[in-house]
Amino acid sequence: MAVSRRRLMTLAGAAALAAPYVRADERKVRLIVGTQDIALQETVNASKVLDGSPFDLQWATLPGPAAQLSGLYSKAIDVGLMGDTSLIIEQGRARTDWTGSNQPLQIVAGWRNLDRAYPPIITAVRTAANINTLADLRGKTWAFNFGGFNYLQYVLTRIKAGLKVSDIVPVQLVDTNAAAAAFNSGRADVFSGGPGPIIEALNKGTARILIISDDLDIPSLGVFTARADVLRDDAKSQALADFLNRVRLHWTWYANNLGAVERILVEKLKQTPDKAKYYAASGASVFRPLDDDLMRHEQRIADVLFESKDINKKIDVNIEFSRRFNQATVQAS
Amino acid sequence: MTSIVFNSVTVTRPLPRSGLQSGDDTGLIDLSPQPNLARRKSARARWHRVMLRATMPLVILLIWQLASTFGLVTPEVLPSPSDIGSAFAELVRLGDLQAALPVSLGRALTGLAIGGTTGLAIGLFAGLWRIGEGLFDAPLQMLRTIPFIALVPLFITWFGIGELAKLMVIIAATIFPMYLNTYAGVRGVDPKLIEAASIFGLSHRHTAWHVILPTALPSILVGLRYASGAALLALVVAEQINASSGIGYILNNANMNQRSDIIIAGILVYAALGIAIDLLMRMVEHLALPWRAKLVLA
Repeated sequence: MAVSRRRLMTLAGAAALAAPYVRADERKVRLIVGTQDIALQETVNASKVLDGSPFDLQWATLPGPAAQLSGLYSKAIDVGLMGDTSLIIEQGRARTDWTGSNQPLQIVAGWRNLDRAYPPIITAVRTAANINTLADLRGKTWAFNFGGFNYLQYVLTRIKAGLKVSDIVPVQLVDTNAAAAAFNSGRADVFSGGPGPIIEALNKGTARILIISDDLDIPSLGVFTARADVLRDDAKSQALADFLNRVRLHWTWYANNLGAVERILVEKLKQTPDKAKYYAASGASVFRPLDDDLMRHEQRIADVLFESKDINKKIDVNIEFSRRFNQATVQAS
Repeated sequence: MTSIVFNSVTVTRPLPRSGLQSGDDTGLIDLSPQPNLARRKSARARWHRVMLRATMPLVILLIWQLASTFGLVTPEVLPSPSDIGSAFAELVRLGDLQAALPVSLGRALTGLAIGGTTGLAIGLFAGLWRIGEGLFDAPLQMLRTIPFIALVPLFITWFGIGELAKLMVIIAATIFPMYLNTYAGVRGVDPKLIEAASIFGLSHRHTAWHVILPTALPSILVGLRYASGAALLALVVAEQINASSGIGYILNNANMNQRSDIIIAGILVYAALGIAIDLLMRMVEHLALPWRAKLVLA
């Protein structure tokens, strides 16, 4: 194709006209938010709360807290998604003690479903195992996974039952899906973790819930954790507050559009319709303020993990929470 | 007239009437195989081979389906073949598989090209020169035992969350089979051949090009076959890193959502890809090693 002078002039003119907008777009603050699966990003996108946002948002899917933490430490992501105990373990195992001024990460927002019908974490037993009380857990095969609040649920259930590790047959697996697979297939009598992966067994009556996380005072929040340098950056910090406010609005949309959420879970996450119905309902959450009451619960968890030698130092959980985004997250919660 | 059947060749020999004169005008005996009969026999043999290969999988599928239908195996333990077929159809209907294949194959082939070439280069260097062996062999022998699945968090730290990290996982998986087989192939060349090359006055370069490389080629191609398999396997790990498409992503997503039917459908896609790649590699082998004997016992 011959390139005429006229065509070149037109292209140059168009480029000159577009330049200010391109530059304006480049100036937009970019926020990279990590998630462990695509559920949250899909429902946030479907809710359209991000329309017209003054920042440029990029999602990054990294399954598991270890990958989220790696993403944060390498500065590949600005904000990561994990459970509220992840930073307790991170701080408790850190080589350098975290202080109010050197902590590399801080939790900026936490959420969960407040309905007791949808407990985030449970300890469930197979009906055939004949376990009716906590004391009956003695000698049983117990599946759970490394780290996080699933592990905490196992530890606190065992402590509440007055049992030591040697009193049970622990089966520690790589993630909650592996633990659930062991439980669903009847290889384990007891399971500690989220109810989602075992919901079919619960619905069929081949398994039942023995104790939920609320009865063990586990907040079991999903949390956003930000890098300290992101929080120090005014522009990014402002974008983060705006983002959290939009996610809060998204929770309202979510509660009113469970059918749409179910469709997303079926089509995008390939969940079965039954599971999607459960996950959609159980995922309807609200932000919880990061306040003194929550700190008391979190501190107790840190102390329990220290006593059970899962972390090797006594820590102050306050320094791993930033309360400055409470205004953005809790307005309508 | 007498007819002699000899090794599937029917020789028709008219009785001589006088001297060497045979029944036809030329007096020649047609010893060539009769094409139709040979083709029919070959087609029948091929059909038998296909049937033999297909029988056992079909029997297993039938038993599996019956066990599922009669409730001997629950769907949580093992979904039925028909469920897996439905899951496969679902992936096709929603366009997930069509979107995933080009993305994953692109990643696998790019990683294989870079990792395979690197493994080949290092293997040749270590095989042909002692300095290469000294520099690379021990570190690579140590590194190859590291399970690359454990490297995902480190790869995120080192290479970020973009395509580079995914490619690096595949490269890491493909370097070692290529290196090991190239190195072994070069070192396994019969010393008598090298001695002969020396006696014929071939330079080092010519010896490497005309003697060592062709002799090592079968082993190098085995390395390529292993590396291409490793590239596919590495996709499952690579596509854990911020992926929103790909076969590995489909498998990881199905695992997180306890869809064992999709997991098995994904495994079957992997199996099909494995067969396709193996056929391709056999073709490459056939073209690259035309002198190689094709010996089977039965």
